[in-house]
Amino acid sequence: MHRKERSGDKRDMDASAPEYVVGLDLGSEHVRCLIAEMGDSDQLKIVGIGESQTSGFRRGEVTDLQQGAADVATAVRRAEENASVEVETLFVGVGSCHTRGFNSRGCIPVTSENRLIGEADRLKALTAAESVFLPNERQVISAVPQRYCLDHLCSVNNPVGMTAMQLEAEVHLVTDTAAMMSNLAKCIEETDYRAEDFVFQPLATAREVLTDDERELGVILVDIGSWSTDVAFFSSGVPRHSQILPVGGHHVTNDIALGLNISLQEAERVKLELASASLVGMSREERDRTFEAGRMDGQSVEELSVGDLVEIVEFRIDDIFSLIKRGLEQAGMDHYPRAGVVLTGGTARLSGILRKARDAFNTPVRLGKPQILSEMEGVSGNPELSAAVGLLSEGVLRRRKEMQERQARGGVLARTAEWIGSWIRNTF
Amino acid sequence: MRDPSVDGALNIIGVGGVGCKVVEQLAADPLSGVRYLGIDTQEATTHSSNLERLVLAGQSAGSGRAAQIAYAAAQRSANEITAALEQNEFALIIGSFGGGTGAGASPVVAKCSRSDGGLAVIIALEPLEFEGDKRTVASKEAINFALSLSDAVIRVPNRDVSELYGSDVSAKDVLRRMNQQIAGGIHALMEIAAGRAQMSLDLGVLRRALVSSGFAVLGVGEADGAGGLERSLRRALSSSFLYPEELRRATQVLVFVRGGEELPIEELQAASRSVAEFVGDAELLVGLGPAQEEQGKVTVTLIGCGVQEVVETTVSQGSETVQGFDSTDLFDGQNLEIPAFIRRKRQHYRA
Repeated sequence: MHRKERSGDKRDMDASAPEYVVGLDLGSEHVRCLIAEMGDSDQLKIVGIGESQTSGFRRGEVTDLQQGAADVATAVRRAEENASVEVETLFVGVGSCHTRGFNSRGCIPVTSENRLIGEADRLKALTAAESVFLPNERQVISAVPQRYCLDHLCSVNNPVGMTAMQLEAEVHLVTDTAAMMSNLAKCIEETDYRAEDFVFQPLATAREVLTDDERELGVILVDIGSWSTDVAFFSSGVPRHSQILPVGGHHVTNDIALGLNISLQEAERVKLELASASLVGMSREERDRTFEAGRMDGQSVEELSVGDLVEIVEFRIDDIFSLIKRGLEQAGMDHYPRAGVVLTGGTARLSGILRKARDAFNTPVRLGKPQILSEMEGVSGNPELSAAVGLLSEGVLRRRKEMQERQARGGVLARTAEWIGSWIRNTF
Repeated sequence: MRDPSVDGALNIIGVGGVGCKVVEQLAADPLSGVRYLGIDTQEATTHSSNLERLVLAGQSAGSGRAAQIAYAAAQRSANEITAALEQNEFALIIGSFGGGTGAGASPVVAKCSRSDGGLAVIIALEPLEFEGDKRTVASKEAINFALSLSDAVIRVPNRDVSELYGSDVSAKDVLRRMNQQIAGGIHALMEIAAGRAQMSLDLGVLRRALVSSGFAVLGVGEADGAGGLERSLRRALSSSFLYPEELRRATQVLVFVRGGEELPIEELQAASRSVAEFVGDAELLVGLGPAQEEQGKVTVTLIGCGVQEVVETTVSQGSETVQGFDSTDLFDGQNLEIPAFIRRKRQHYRA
């Protein structure tokens, strides 16, 4: 594979040069790459967007290593050209249908003098919560602290500095097959780029799309992709349930093609132009309205009614929603209060789907869009980009946290050394 | 050749090329009261040795490493094998389980050895780690089969060899030392069987410990000088034949010590205490062998019997017929690739 010349890491070269974060959303039909500039303020500025059709990934898993690597490289290169910058590291979204999300707790005695809880105790409790028995072929891909309990006082957000006899940590753990992770890592290694970190996709999307209030009051995030649907349930500000269902917008298209005996391409077209998620509220004239679509043989044309089309779509959407509800039930989350459902992803644009969701979940429903504002065309308010933008905001957060930790560790000395190092590099 | 203290015969039987070679070496320094026998399909090796031989029926040109052919040949010669064993009391069957004659014929030899009520223990030499996965898988299958026809199988894992002897040891040297250790283990078992051990070990104990006991493990260590017992014990615990973890899972552990006349009782007590510590719940049976000729030399043999198997998740090999969609499409008991409207209608008709 062709490797381009690199001019070294720009971040180290020049302190005044803008810093970039890159998000890579690996869809089953598209790979999307976003490049954003990290300013001094918290506001991100998207400077580049790149997309490529892909056949190398399916539901978050690598199906063709070479093809996948080539598709990733194409998407990132397009984003680079679009932004006129060069990037090196990517925040890669992960999560397959083998993902399992569950809640775990770990408890440690506080042994320090005066029973004072330090940062080390907090980390120890988290480690205890993350130490679950896993079969060999599985690994933890995400661990989000939910809350801490001090003795019997629960709902503590940060226990450091408090006193207690024992400290308990609750964590939302997500595991996936180790093979999925290693193959994905291998795929990124095949490109010129490096994975800065792997980010569990549903929770990253949630970070961008959901508001703090929603997370606090209880909300289900549903990101309907092409081949899979990401589900995340938040309550009291933290994730409680996450799941990836193996169905998505592609299945709607598929059903239309099979049900109406038309080609996949035509099915996709009528889905976007004519379909709706619910027959409810449609007048008789609307249902009886006919349209033409090309048959699978590619020659003849079928005359069909909108009512038939919508019925097929409605069945599939119903199906997806009932799978989500069942998942929540199985995770024991059905009794939690919820303020609403947020739908995002490409299929969230399907007409009537919000209403359908409202009926299915019996809560307010809204369309989830990236909160980021961008002058670039087709970025602001595009639910298809929720996942990719989510990776950006999660990426910024992780990078800031790492920088803080590094500073805390290194202190003044390291910073001085860094400054001298950069001065030397800049001068000579 | 019969030892008067034992009713039946004690046999050491090498099966296949490798097995015969090991037994040949053992026969060079024979124990009294023990018969040494080689069983092979290959005429070529049969001619070259001084060992008492039995050639299996058919396939005189060698079985070409095919365990199935060797198994069939041994089945055909079952009567001859039984006759050659002369009312077997205790048979140690040594064969390589890399997929040739040893793997195929050893189980049959074990079956014949048990036909008169005798005890049959197979020492299965697993292929060396660097010989490849394919042979490892084949040997696992063969060993499991052998387990069903014998009283006990002692696996010689042949792994971590370089770790044990240092990385700069030649391959030949490693093999020689391993053979030495196997020989040590076999000698110990035979000494016990022949009734030459003092304290709590004899053929009866051996029989109770080994009969239909499944997997067993062997560890051999040798040292001399002061504190020789402790050092040889440590070597036995870490010797290459022993997965130390397996010894911990044994239900009974036989400790056989051969030392000089002057071996102090305190040292023996300390040694058995440290073995007890290592093996945990297992029943400990200690025996003292006849004094060694070499001054100050101490040999310890550990035999862990009835090793509890840890259930392993096996990865199936080869192809299997997959019907319909693959399992990822089955979600929550339904195949989500089938259009929702069709599934709903089916449910409707069923109802």
